[in-house]
Amino acid sequence: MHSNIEMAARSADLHAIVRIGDGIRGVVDTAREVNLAALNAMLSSRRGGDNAVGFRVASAELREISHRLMDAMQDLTVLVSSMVSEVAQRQRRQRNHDYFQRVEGERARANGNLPDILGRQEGDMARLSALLGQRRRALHLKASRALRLCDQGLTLSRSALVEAAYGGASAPALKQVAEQLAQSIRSVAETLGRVRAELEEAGS
Amino acid sequence: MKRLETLYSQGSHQWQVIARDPERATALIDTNEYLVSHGNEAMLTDPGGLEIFPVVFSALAAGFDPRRVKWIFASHQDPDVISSLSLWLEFNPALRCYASRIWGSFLPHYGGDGGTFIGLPDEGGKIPLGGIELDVVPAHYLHSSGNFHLYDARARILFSGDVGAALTPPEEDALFVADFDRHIRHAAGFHRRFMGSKAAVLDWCERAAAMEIDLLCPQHGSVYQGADVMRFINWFAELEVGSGLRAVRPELQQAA
Repeated sequence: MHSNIEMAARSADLHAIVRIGDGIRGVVDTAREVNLAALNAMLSSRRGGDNAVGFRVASAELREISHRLMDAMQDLTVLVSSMVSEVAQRQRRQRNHDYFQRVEGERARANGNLPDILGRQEGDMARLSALLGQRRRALHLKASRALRLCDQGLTLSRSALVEAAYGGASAPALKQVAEQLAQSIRSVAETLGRVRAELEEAGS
Repeated sequence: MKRLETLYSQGSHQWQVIARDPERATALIDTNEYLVSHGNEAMLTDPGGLEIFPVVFSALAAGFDPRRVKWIFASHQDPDVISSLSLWLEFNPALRCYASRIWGSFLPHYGGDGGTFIGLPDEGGKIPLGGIELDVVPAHYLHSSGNFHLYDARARILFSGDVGAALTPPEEDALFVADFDRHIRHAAGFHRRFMGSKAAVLDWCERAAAMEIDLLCPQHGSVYQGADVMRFINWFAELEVGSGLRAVRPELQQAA
Protein backbone atom coordinates (compact mmCIF):
# COMPACT_ATOMS: atom_id res chain seq x y z
CA MET A 1 0.00 0.00 0.00
CA HIS A 2 1.33 3.45 -0.87
CA SER A 3 1.85 5.76 2.05
CA ASN A 4 0.12 9.11 1.90
CA ILE A 5 3.54 10.78 2.14
CA GLU A 6 4.77 8.94 -0.97
CA MET A 7 1.64 9.85 -2.88
CA ALA A 8 1.92 13.49 -1.81
CA ALA A 9 5.54 13.60 -2.99
CA ARG A 10 4.52 12.21 -6.36
CA SER A 11 1.80 14.75 -6.78
CA ALA A 12 4.21 17.64 -6.10
CA ASP A 13 4.69 18.15 -9.85
CA LEU A 14 0.96 18.40 -10.32
CA HIS A 15 0.66 20.95 -7.50
CA ALA A 16 3.50 23.01 -9.03
CA ILE A 17 1.72 22.96 -12.40
CA VAL A 18 -1.52 24.07 -10.76
CA ARG A 19 0.33 27.03 -9.18
CA ILE A 20 1.91 27.91 -12.57
CA GLY A 21 -1.52 27.73 -14.22
CA ASP A 22 -2.94 30.04 -11.52
CA GLY A 23 -0.10 32.50 -12.19
CA ILE A 24 -0.77 32.45 -15.93
CA ARG A 25 -4.46 33.14 -15.36
CA GLY A 26 -3.47 36.03 -13.06
CA VAL A 27 -1.22 37.47 -15.78
CA VAL A 28 -3.99 37.22 -18.37
CA ASP A 29 -6.43 39.04 -16.05
CA THR A 30 -3.95 41.83 -15.31
CA ALA A 31 -2.86 42.14 -18.96
CA ARG A 32 -6.54 42.63 -19.77
CA GLU A 33 -6.61 45.44 -17.20
CA VAL A 34 -3.51 46.99 -18.83
CA ASN A 35 -5.24 46.84 -22.18
CA LEU A 36 -8.32 48.63 -20.84
CA ALA A 37 -6.24 51.19 -18.92
CA ALA A 38 -4.18 51.88 -22.06
CA LEU A 39 -7.37 52.34 -24.08
CA ASN A 40 -8.65 54.69 -21.41
CA ALA A 41 -5.32 56.56 -21.52
CA MET A 42 -5.57 56.96 -25.32
CA LEU A 43 -9.09 58.39 -24.99
CA SER A 44 -8.02 60.73 -22.15
CA SER A 45 -5.08 61.93 -24.20
CA ARG A 46 -7.46 63.12 -26.93
CA ARG A 47 -8.81 65.64 -24.44
CA GLY A 48 -5.21 66.87 -23.91
CA GLY A 49 -4.99 67.80 -27.60
CA ASP A 50 -1.56 68.24 -29.24
CA ASN A 51 0.08 68.53 -25.83
CA ALA A 52 -0.73 64.86 -25.13
CA VAL A 53 0.58 63.35 -28.39
CA GLY A 54 3.55 61.74 -26.61
CA PHE A 55 1.27 60.26 -23.96
CA ARG A 56 -1.01 58.88 -26.66
CA VAL A 57 1.89 57.16 -28.43
CA ALA A 58 3.14 55.59 -25.18
CA SER A 59 -0.39 54.40 -24.35
CA ALA A 60 -0.82 52.80 -27.78
CA GLU A 61 2.50 50.95 -27.36
CA LEU A 62 1.39 49.73 -23.93
CA ARG A 63 -1.82 48.44 -25.46
CA GLU A 64 0.21 46.50 -28.01
CA ILE A 65 2.34 45.04 -25.22
CA SER A 66 -0.75 43.91 -23.33
CA HIS A 67 -1.90 42.06 -26.48
CA ARG A 68 1.49 40.40 -26.84
CA LEU A 69 1.42 39.39 -23.17
CA MET A 70 -1.99 37.77 -23.59
CA ASP A 71 -0.75 35.89 -26.68
CA ALA A 72 2.31 34.73 -24.74
CA MET A 73 0.08 33.48 -21.91
CA GLN A 74 -1.98 31.52 -24.43
CA ASP A 75 1.21 29.70 -25.51
CA LEU A 76 2.06 29.04 -21.87
CA THR A 77 -1.42 27.67 -21.22
CA VAL A 78 -1.02 25.15 -24.07
CA LEU A 79 2.32 24.02 -22.62
CA VAL A 80 0.86 23.67 -19.13
CA SER A 81 -2.01 21.51 -20.46
CA SER A 82 0.52 19.18 -22.08
CA MET A 83 2.46 19.00 -18.82
CA VAL A 84 -0.65 18.04 -16.84
CA SER A 85 -1.27 15.18 -19.25
CA GLU A 86 2.35 14.00 -19.10
CA VAL A 87 2.57 14.23 -15.31
CA ALA A 88 -0.63 12.16 -15.06
CA GLN A 89 0.80 9.57 -17.47
CA ARG A 90 4.03 9.39 -15.50
CA GLN A 91 2.15 8.97 -12.23
CA ARG A 92 0.09 6.15 -13.73
CA ARG A 93 3.26 4.46 -15.01
CA GLN A 94 4.88 4.87 -11.60
CA ARG A 95 1.83 3.45 -9.85
CA ASN A 96 1.68 0.43 -12.17
CA HIS A 97 5.43 -0.06 -11.74
CA ASP A 98 4.95 -0.13 -7.96
CA TYR A 99 2.24 -2.79 -8.23
CA PHE A 100 4.37 -5.02 -10.49
CA GLN A 101 7.35 -4.58 -8.16
CA ARG A 102 5.24 -5.97 -5.33
CA VAL A 103 4.75 -9.30 -7.17
CA GLU A 104 6.47 -11.92 -5.01
CA GLY A 105 8.23 -15.18 -5.74
CA GLU A 106 10.95 -15.98 -8.26
CA ARG A 107 8.73 -18.30 -10.26
CA ALA A 108 5.92 -15.79 -10.48
CA ARG A 109 8.35 -13.06 -11.55
CA ALA A 110 9.84 -15.29 -14.23
CA ASN A 111 6.47 -16.62 -15.50
CA GLY A 112 5.12 -13.11 -15.54
CA ASN A 113 8.08 -11.87 -17.54
CA LEU A 114 8.41 -9.10 -14.97
CA PRO A 115 11.95 -7.89 -15.79
CA ASP A 116 10.72 -6.93 -19.29
CA ILE A 117 7.57 -5.25 -17.96
CA LEU A 118 9.45 -3.32 -15.27
CA GLY A 119 12.13 -2.30 -17.79
CA ARG A 120 9.50 -1.05 -20.22
CA GLN A 121 7.76 0.93 -17.47
CA GLU A 122 11.05 2.47 -16.34
CA GLY A 123 11.85 3.41 -19.95
CA ASP A 124 8.44 5.06 -20.31
CA MET A 125 8.90 6.98 -17.06
CA ALA A 126 12.36 8.17 -18.13
CA ARG A 127 10.96 9.30 -21.50
CA LEU A 128 8.11 11.19 -19.81
CA SER A 129 10.50 12.79 -17.31
CA ALA A 130 12.71 13.97 -20.19
CA LEU A 131 9.67 15.34 -22.01
CA LEU A 132 8.54 17.18 -18.86
CA GLY A 133 12.02 18.65 -18.53
CA GLN A 134 11.79 19.96 -22.12
CA ARG A 135 8.35 21.45 -21.42
CA ARG A 136 9.64 23.13 -18.27
CA ARG A 137 12.55 24.66 -20.17
CA ALA A 138 10.20 25.88 -22.93
CA LEU A 139 7.89 27.39 -20.30
CA HIS A 140 10.84 29.07 -18.60
CA LEU A 141 11.98 30.56 -21.90
CA LYS A 142 8.52 31.89 -22.72
CA ALA A 143 8.08 33.27 -19.18
CA SER A 144 11.46 35.04 -19.51
CA ARG A 145 10.39 36.57 -22.84
CA ALA A 146 7.14 37.74 -21.28
CA LEU A 147 9.14 39.29 -18.44
CA ARG A 148 11.20 41.21 -21.01
CA LEU A 149 7.89 42.49 -22.44
CA CYS A 150 7.03 43.66 -18.95
CA ASP A 151 10.37 45.53 -18.76
CA GLN A 152 9.45 47.30 -21.99
CA GLY A 153 6.01 48.00 -20.53
CA LEU A 154 7.51 49.50 -17.37
CA THR A 155 9.78 51.76 -19.46
CA LEU A 156 6.79 52.85 -21.53
CA SER A 157 4.68 53.47 -18.44
CA ARG A 158 7.47 55.69 -17.05
CA SER A 159 7.51 57.55 -20.38
CA ALA A 160 3.73 57.93 -20.18
CA LEU A 161 4.13 59.41 -16.70
CA VAL A 162 6.67 61.93 -18.03
CA GLU A 163 4.47 62.76 -21.03
CA ALA A 164 1.46 63.22 -18.74
CA ALA A 165 3.16 66.27 -17.23
CA TYR A 166 2.88 67.98 -20.66
CA GLY A 167 -0.86 67.37 -20.83
CA GLY A 168 -1.85 70.86 -19.80
CA ALA A 169 -5.22 70.92 -18.08
CA SER A 170 -5.51 67.12 -18.53
CA ALA A 171 -2.16 66.49 -16.83
CA PRO A 172 -3.58 65.31 -13.44
CA ALA A 173 -5.98 62.86 -15.14
CA LEU A 174 -3.25 61.58 -17.48
CA LYS A 175 -0.87 61.15 -14.55
CA GLN A 176 -3.47 59.07 -12.71
CA VAL A 177 -3.96 56.81 -15.74
CA ALA A 178 -0.19 56.47 -16.24
CA GLU A 179 0.27 55.43 -12.59
CA GLN A 180 -2.47 52.83 -12.92
CA LEU A 181 -0.75 51.42 -16.01
CA ALA A 182 2.60 51.24 -14.23
CA GLN A 183 1.04 49.48 -11.26
CA SER A 184 -0.67 46.87 -13.46
CA ILE A 185 2.54 46.16 -15.39
CA ARG A 186 4.46 45.76 -12.11
CA SER A 187 1.80 43.30 -10.94
CA VAL A 188 2.17 41.28 -14.17
CA ALA A 189 5.95 41.25 -13.75
CA GLU A 190 5.70 40.06 -10.14
CA THR A 191 3.35 37.22 -11.08
CA LEU A 192 5.57 36.15 -13.99
CA GLY A 193 8.59 36.28 -11.69
CA ARG A 194 6.83 33.86 -9.33
CA VAL A 195 5.91 31.57 -12.24
CA ARG A 196 9.55 31.52 -13.39
CA ALA A 197 10.80 30.85 -9.86
CA GLU A 198 8.30 27.97 -9.56
CA LEU A 199 9.64 26.51 -12.81
CA GLU A 200 13.23 26.82 -11.60
CA GLU A 201 12.33 25.10 -8.33
CA ALA A 202 10.47 22.29 -10.12
CA GLY A 203 13.44 21.73 -12.42
CA SER A 204 16.08 21.74 -9.67
CA MET B 1 -0.41 -14.50 0.81
CA LYS B 2 -3.01 -15.78 -1.61
CA ARG B 3 -2.53 -19.19 -3.15
CA LEU B 4 -3.82 -21.02 -6.19
CA GLU B 5 -5.94 -24.07 -5.33
CA THR B 6 -7.59 -26.53 -7.67
CA LEU B 7 -11.37 -26.98 -7.39
CA TYR B 8 -11.89 -29.20 -10.41
CA SER B 9 -9.58 -30.96 -12.81
CA GLN B 10 -10.48 -33.26 -15.66
CA GLY B 11 -7.90 -33.57 -18.42
CA SER B 12 -7.01 -30.09 -19.60
CA HIS B 13 -10.21 -28.67 -18.09
CA GLN B 14 -9.67 -26.99 -14.74
CA TRP B 15 -11.16 -24.61 -12.22
CA GLN B 16 -8.73 -23.07 -9.79
CA VAL B 17 -9.28 -20.44 -7.15
CA ILE B 18 -6.99 -17.75 -5.80
CA ALA B 19 -8.41 -17.34 -2.36
CA ARG B 20 -7.74 -16.30 1.23
CA ASP B 21 -5.28 -13.53 1.83
CA PRO B 22 -4.74 -13.19 5.58
CA GLU B 23 -2.14 -10.49 4.96
CA ARG B 24 -4.46 -8.22 3.01
CA ALA B 25 -4.87 -4.64 4.18
CA THR B 26 -7.76 -4.65 6.63
CA ALA B 27 -9.62 -1.92 4.76
CA LEU B 28 -9.97 -4.20 1.73
CA ILE B 29 -12.62 -6.86 1.35
CA ASP B 30 -11.08 -10.21 0.49
CA THR B 31 -11.97 -11.59 -2.92
CA ASN B 32 -11.90 -14.93 -4.70
CA GLU B 33 -10.52 -15.02 -8.22
CA TYR B 34 -11.38 -18.10 -10.27
CA LEU B 35 -9.22 -19.33 -13.11
CA VAL B 36 -11.07 -21.46 -15.66
CA SER B 37 -8.79 -23.16 -18.13
CA HIS B 38 -9.32 -25.48 -21.05
CA GLY B 39 -6.71 -26.51 -23.59
CA ASN B 40 -4.31 -23.66 -23.98
CA GLU B 41 -6.68 -20.88 -22.92
CA ALA B 42 -7.74 -19.54 -19.55
CA MET B 43 -10.29 -17.06 -18.27
CA LEU B 44 -9.98 -15.17 -15.00
CA THR B 45 -13.20 -14.18 -13.26
CA ASP B 46 -13.43 -10.88 -11.34
CA PRO B 47 -9.65 -10.37 -11.14
CA GLY B 48 -10.01 -7.90 -8.29
CA GLY B 49 -8.91 -4.43 -7.36
CA LEU B 50 -5.69 -2.55 -7.98
CA GLU B 51 -4.37 -3.01 -4.48
CA ILE B 52 -4.59 -6.79 -4.52
CA PHE B 53 -3.13 -7.19 -8.03
CA PRO B 54 0.39 -8.03 -6.74
CA VAL B 55 -0.84 -10.90 -4.54
CA VAL B 56 -3.29 -12.21 -7.15
CA PHE B 57 -0.65 -12.11 -9.88
CA SER B 58 1.96 -13.68 -7.56
CA ALA B 59 -0.38 -16.55 -6.66
CA LEU B 60 -1.50 -17.12 -10.24
CA ALA B 61 1.92 -16.92 -11.88
CA ALA B 62 3.50 -19.16 -9.24
CA GLY B 63 1.37 -22.07 -10.42
CA PHE B 64 0.19 -21.21 -13.93
CA ASP B 65 1.54 -19.57 -17.05
CA PRO B 66 -0.20 -16.16 -16.92
CA ARG B 67 0.25 -15.73 -20.68
CA ARG B 68 -2.44 -18.39 -21.14
CA VAL B 69 -5.00 -16.04 -19.60
CA LYS B 70 -6.73 -14.70 -22.70
CA TRP B 71 -10.00 -13.56 -21.17
CA ILE B 72 -11.31 -11.73 -18.16
CA PHE B 73 -14.90 -12.15 -17.04
CA ALA B 74 -16.22 -9.22 -15.02
CA SER B 75 -19.48 -10.12 -13.27
CA HIS B 76 -20.17 -6.42 -12.82
CA GLN B 77 -18.50 -3.02 -12.63
CA ASP B 78 -17.41 -2.66 -9.01
CA PRO B 79 -13.80 -1.67 -8.17
CA ASP B 80 -13.18 -4.84 -6.12
CA VAL B 81 -14.16 -6.77 -9.26
CA ILE B 82 -12.20 -5.16 -12.04
CA SER B 83 -10.24 -2.02 -11.08
CA SER B 84 -6.97 -3.96 -11.64
CA LEU B 85 -7.80 -4.17 -15.35
CA SER B 86 -5.13 -1.67 -16.43
CA LEU B 87 -2.44 -3.81 -14.78
CA TRP B 88 -3.62 -7.02 -16.45
CA LEU B 89 -3.61 -5.15 -19.76
CA GLU B 90 -0.12 -3.91 -19.07
CA PHE B 91 0.93 -7.53 -18.71
CA ASN B 92 -1.01 -8.63 -21.78
CA PRO B 93 -2.46 -5.86 -23.99
CA ALA B 94 -4.31 -8.50 -26.07
CA LEU B 95 -6.53 -9.54 -23.12
CA ARG B 96 -10.26 -9.22 -23.79
CA CYS B 97 -12.79 -8.55 -21.08
CA TYR B 98 -16.38 -9.80 -20.98
CA ALA B 99 -18.86 -7.63 -19.10
CA SER B 100 -22.43 -6.46 -19.39
CA ARG B 101 -22.87 -4.22 -22.41
CA ILE B 102 -24.30 -1.51 -20.16
CA TRP B 103 -20.85 -0.98 -18.60
CA GLY B 104 -19.14 -0.54 -21.97
CA SER B 105 -18.44 3.15 -21.48
CA PHE B 106 -17.87 2.90 -17.71
CA LEU B 107 -15.24 0.16 -17.53
CA PRO B 108 -12.65 2.00 -19.67
CA HIS B 109 -12.27 4.30 -16.63
CA TYR B 110 -10.30 1.37 -15.17
CA GLY B 111 -8.23 0.92 -18.35
CA GLY B 112 -8.54 -0.54 -21.82
CA ASP B 113 -10.41 0.84 -24.78
CA GLY B 114 -13.21 -0.08 -27.17
CA GLY B 115 -11.23 -3.09 -28.36
CA THR B 116 -10.77 -4.49 -24.84
CA PHE B 117 -14.40 -5.08 -23.97
CA ILE B 118 -16.88 -7.60 -25.26
CA GLY B 119 -20.32 -6.37 -24.22
CA LEU B 120 -22.62 -9.15 -23.07
CA PRO B 121 -26.30 -8.82 -24.03
CA ASP B 122 -28.87 -8.78 -21.22
CA GLU B 123 -30.04 -12.30 -22.03
CA GLY B 124 -26.52 -13.76 -21.61
CA GLY B 125 -25.39 -16.51 -23.94
CA LYS B 126 -22.34 -18.65 -24.51
CA ILE B 127 -18.68 -17.68 -24.60
CA PRO B 128 -15.86 -19.79 -26.01
CA LEU B 129 -12.85 -20.99 -24.08
CA GLY B 130 -10.20 -23.13 -25.74
CA GLY B 131 -12.71 -25.11 -27.84
CA ILE B 132 -15.53 -25.43 -25.30
CA GLU B 133 -18.32 -23.03 -24.30
CA LEU B 134 -19.29 -21.56 -20.97
CA ASP B 135 -22.77 -20.22 -20.19
CA VAL B 136 -23.19 -16.57 -19.29
CA VAL B 137 -26.07 -16.48 -16.80
CA PRO B 138 -28.02 -13.23 -16.32
CA ALA B 139 -28.14 -12.09 -12.70
CA HIS B 140 -29.19 -8.48 -13.14
CA TYR B 141 -29.91 -6.46 -9.99
CA LEU B 142 -28.01 -9.03 -7.89
CA HIS B 143 -26.62 -6.58 -6.96
CA SER B 144 -25.57 -4.62 -10.03
CA SER B 145 -28.05 -3.59 -12.71
CA GLY B 146 -25.83 -5.22 -15.34
CA ASN B 147 -24.71 -8.44 -13.68
CA PHE B 148 -23.72 -11.90 -14.94
CA HIS B 149 -22.67 -15.25 -13.52
CA LEU B 150 -20.71 -17.94 -15.33
CA TYR B 151 -21.83 -21.56 -15.52
CA ASP B 152 -19.67 -24.45 -16.61
CA ALA B 153 -21.92 -27.44 -17.37
CA ARG B 154 -18.93 -29.75 -17.82
CA ALA B 155 -17.51 -29.02 -14.35
CA ARG B 156 -20.96 -28.30 -12.84
CA ILE B 157 -19.62 -25.11 -11.33
CA LEU B 158 -21.44 -21.77 -11.10
CA PHE B 159 -19.39 -18.64 -10.51
CA SER B 160 -21.99 -16.51 -8.75
CA GLY B 161 -20.29 -13.13 -8.25
CA ASP B 162 -21.71 -11.43 -5.19
CA VAL B 163 -24.53 -13.96 -4.80
CA GLY B 164 -23.52 -16.29 -1.98
CA ALA B 165 -20.87 -13.86 -0.77
CA ALA B 166 -20.15 -13.87 2.95
CA LEU B 167 -18.05 -11.60 5.12
CA THR B 168 -16.62 -14.25 7.39
CA PRO B 169 -14.40 -13.69 10.44
CA PRO B 170 -10.84 -15.07 10.07
CA GLU B 171 -11.55 -18.13 12.25
CA GLU B 172 -14.36 -19.22 9.88
CA ASP B 173 -12.61 -18.24 6.68
CA ALA B 174 -12.32 -21.74 5.18
CA LEU B 175 -12.28 -22.36 1.43
CA PHE B 176 -15.46 -24.47 1.60
CA VAL B 177 -18.56 -23.92 3.70
CA ALA B 178 -18.32 -26.43 6.56
CA ASP B 179 -21.44 -25.58 8.56
CA PHE B 180 -24.15 -23.96 6.42
CA ASP B 181 -26.24 -22.56 9.29
CA ARG B 182 -23.21 -21.03 10.93
CA HIS B 183 -21.82 -19.70 7.64
CA ILE B 184 -25.02 -18.15 6.33
CA ARG B 185 -25.21 -15.73 9.29
CA HIS B 186 -22.18 -13.99 7.71
CA ALA B 187 -23.99 -13.77 4.36
CA ALA B 188 -27.38 -12.55 5.58
CA GLY B 189 -26.66 -8.85 6.18
CA PHE B 190 -24.80 -8.51 2.90
CA HIS B 191 -27.58 -10.10 0.86
CA ARG B 192 -30.36 -8.14 2.60
CA ARG B 193 -28.61 -4.86 1.87
CA PHE B 194 -26.86 -5.47 -1.47
CA MET B 195 -29.56 -7.42 -3.29
CA GLY B 196 -32.12 -4.84 -4.29
CA SER B 197 -34.94 -6.79 -5.96
CA LYS B 198 -36.99 -9.69 -4.62
CA ALA B 199 -38.27 -10.41 -8.14
CA ALA B 200 -34.66 -10.69 -9.38
CA VAL B 201 -33.80 -13.01 -6.47
CA LEU B 202 -36.73 -15.36 -7.20
CA ASP B 203 -36.01 -15.36 -10.94
CA TRP B 204 -32.37 -16.26 -10.31
CA CYS B 205 -33.25 -18.92 -7.74
CA GLU B 206 -35.67 -20.59 -10.14
CA ARG B 207 -33.03 -20.77 -12.88
CA ALA B 208 -30.23 -21.80 -10.51
CA ALA B 209 -32.37 -24.59 -9.01
CA ALA B 210 -32.76 -26.07 -12.50
CA MET B 211 -29.00 -26.22 -13.08
CA GLU B 212 -26.75 -29.06 -12.07
CA ILE B 213 -24.36 -27.37 -9.66
CA ASP B 214 -21.73 -29.14 -7.59
CA LEU B 215 -19.91 -25.96 -6.57
CA LEU B 216 -21.37 -22.48 -6.17
CA CYS B 217 -18.43 -20.10 -6.16
CA PRO B 218 -18.97 -16.55 -4.90
CA GLN B 219 -16.56 -13.64 -5.23
CA HIS B 220 -16.25 -13.26 -1.45
CA GLY B 221 -16.22 -15.93 1.26
CA SER B 222 -16.43 -19.70 1.16
CA VAL B 223 -17.49 -21.97 -1.71
CA TYR B 224 -20.77 -23.91 -1.35
CA GLN B 225 -20.61 -27.56 -2.34
CA GLY B 226 -22.97 -30.50 -2.64
CA ALA B 227 -26.23 -30.13 -0.72
CA ASP B 228 -25.22 -26.69 0.55
CA VAL B 229 -25.78 -25.33 -2.97
CA MET B 230 -29.51 -26.05 -2.86
CA ARG B 231 -29.64 -24.99 0.80
CA PHE B 232 -28.27 -21.65 -0.27
CA ILE B 233 -30.73 -21.28 -3.17
CA ASN B 234 -33.67 -22.04 -0.85
CA TRP B 235 -32.35 -19.68 1.82
CA PHE B 236 -31.86 -16.92 -0.75
CA ALA B 237 -35.38 -17.37 -2.18
CA GLU B 238 -36.90 -16.79 1.25
CA LEU B 239 -34.71 -13.86 2.23
CA GLU B 240 -36.23 -10.38 2.44
CA VAL B 241 -33.89 -8.13 0.47
CA GLY B 242 -33.59 -4.40 -0.11
CA SER B 243 -33.10 -3.55 3.57
CA GLY B 244 -31.41 -0.26 2.64
CA LEU B 245 -34.83 1.21 1.90
CA ARG B 246 -36.09 0.23 5.34
CA ALA B 247 -33.07 1.88 6.94
CA VAL B 248 -34.29 5.27 5.75
CA ARG B 249 -38.04 4.48 5.97
CA PRO B 250 -38.55 2.65 9.32
CA GLU B 251 -42.32 2.65 8.85
CA LEU B 252 -41.82 0.13 6.01
CA GLN B 253 -40.23 -2.25 8.53
CA GLN B 254 -43.45 -2.27 10.56
CA ALA B 255 -45.64 -2.63 7.46
CA ALA B 256 -43.62 -5.63 6.20
